[in-house]
Amino acid sequence: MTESSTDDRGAARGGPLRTLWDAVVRFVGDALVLTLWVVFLTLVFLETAWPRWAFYGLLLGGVAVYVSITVPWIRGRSTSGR
Amino acid sequence: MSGDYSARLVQRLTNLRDGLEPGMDRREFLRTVVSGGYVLGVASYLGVEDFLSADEGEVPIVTALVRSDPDDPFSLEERTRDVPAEWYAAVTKALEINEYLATVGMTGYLGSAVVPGSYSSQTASVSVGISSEGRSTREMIEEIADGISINAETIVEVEEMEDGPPSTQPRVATNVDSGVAPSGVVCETPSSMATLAPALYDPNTEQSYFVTAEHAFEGVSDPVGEPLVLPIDSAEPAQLGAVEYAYPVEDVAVVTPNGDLEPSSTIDTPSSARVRGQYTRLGLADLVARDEYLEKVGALTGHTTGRIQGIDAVTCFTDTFCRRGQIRWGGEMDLTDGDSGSVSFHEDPQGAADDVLVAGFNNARTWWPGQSYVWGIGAYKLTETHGYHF
Repeated sequence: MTESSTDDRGAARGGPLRTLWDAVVRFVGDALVLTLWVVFLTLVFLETAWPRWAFYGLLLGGVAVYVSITVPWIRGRSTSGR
Repeated sequence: MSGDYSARLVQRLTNLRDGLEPGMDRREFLRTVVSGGYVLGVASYLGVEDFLSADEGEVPIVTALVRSDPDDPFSLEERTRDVPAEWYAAVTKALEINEYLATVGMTGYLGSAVVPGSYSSQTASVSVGISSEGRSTREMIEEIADGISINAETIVEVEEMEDGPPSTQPRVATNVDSGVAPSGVVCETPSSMATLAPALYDPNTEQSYFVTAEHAFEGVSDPVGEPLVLPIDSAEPAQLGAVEYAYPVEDVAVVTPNGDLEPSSTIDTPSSARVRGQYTRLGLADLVARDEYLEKVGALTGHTTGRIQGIDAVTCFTDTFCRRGQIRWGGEMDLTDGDSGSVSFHEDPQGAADDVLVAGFNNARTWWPGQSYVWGIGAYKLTETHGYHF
């Protein structure tokens, strides 16, 4: 969020292939992390018998936090042009 | 149901986008919505509702297969017990997830086990073992699990099992005049020694077998046809027979009797236990929930008891494959070389005073710091895969 005054994503820097590759990596990475998150929460709730609303609250809250945390990373990587 | 949640999610995210993060662009918003839908989909695939909204009340489970006639090994009938439905839902879901983990087998996965909670807790946990080589996965899980006990175990790789020569004399069969060989005593393979298990039965052929650990036939590529010998106190050793089937994954070698001695269902304990049947997977979960102990009689360490540490465990510590349906119990001092092939058992609460039900085999033990248990295939798993029963 801090260094995104100019919204220049990968397209301008690395070409369409680079953009596609970044998108695939991001997609697979998201799927992996989010799957682990669901499995982890499921195991925690099996172990604790916490209520159902807490499960869905944490599940979706975690997603929101995950996305908001990773946005600056993605932007940072794009702007630094690596 | 998930549509309902998605609608709520969209609402929540719209608020988030408008209120908290005015900088969030359409792409990130879309990513959040897609991710939210994805996690709900995965949760639904895992069937989290099964245990999150489990009914109260009780459900019947089959805890054991027990002989109605103690002298007829093929007169097995199911024994049931009513258990809390919420506990049942948690345990069956933990068993399912344990199976998923083993199937996916992510980097560094060394095994896992289900540890049912007590009936009052209505919980179950899955204990996952992760190799120190799979550092990234381990760190990731430890990071997430920081502060919550999710049993992220670290297994330190050790080159060799540090077993010295056995310090005690093995338990040797004393009296075979009746024509049957007792179990829980030492038996010899051409290359090693192990403990003779109680008779195993094949319900299809109604044949009874001598059984011991397959790995006791080390040094030969295929143990089939190798002889098994029973040393007898102050007498000549008796030939029990030759290996008919060898199962390296289950670590079980099945020996057809050659006619001199018959396998028996008695275990040579101080009180001479008689095998009356075997526990099911859920029967073992029931034992854990009630904090009951298992016992065993090994040829070297003798009679020991211990707490069950995990059921339906997957172990990938040894060999190149993983072993499923294992029981973890007791401590590493309960087993040494030569005790392999012994069975773990527990008294039959509804049988006669000496009646016991078999839980499974004891084939190996931990040798790394931080954990201490014995493991071996559960009797129910052997029945599932090959049909044999005790």
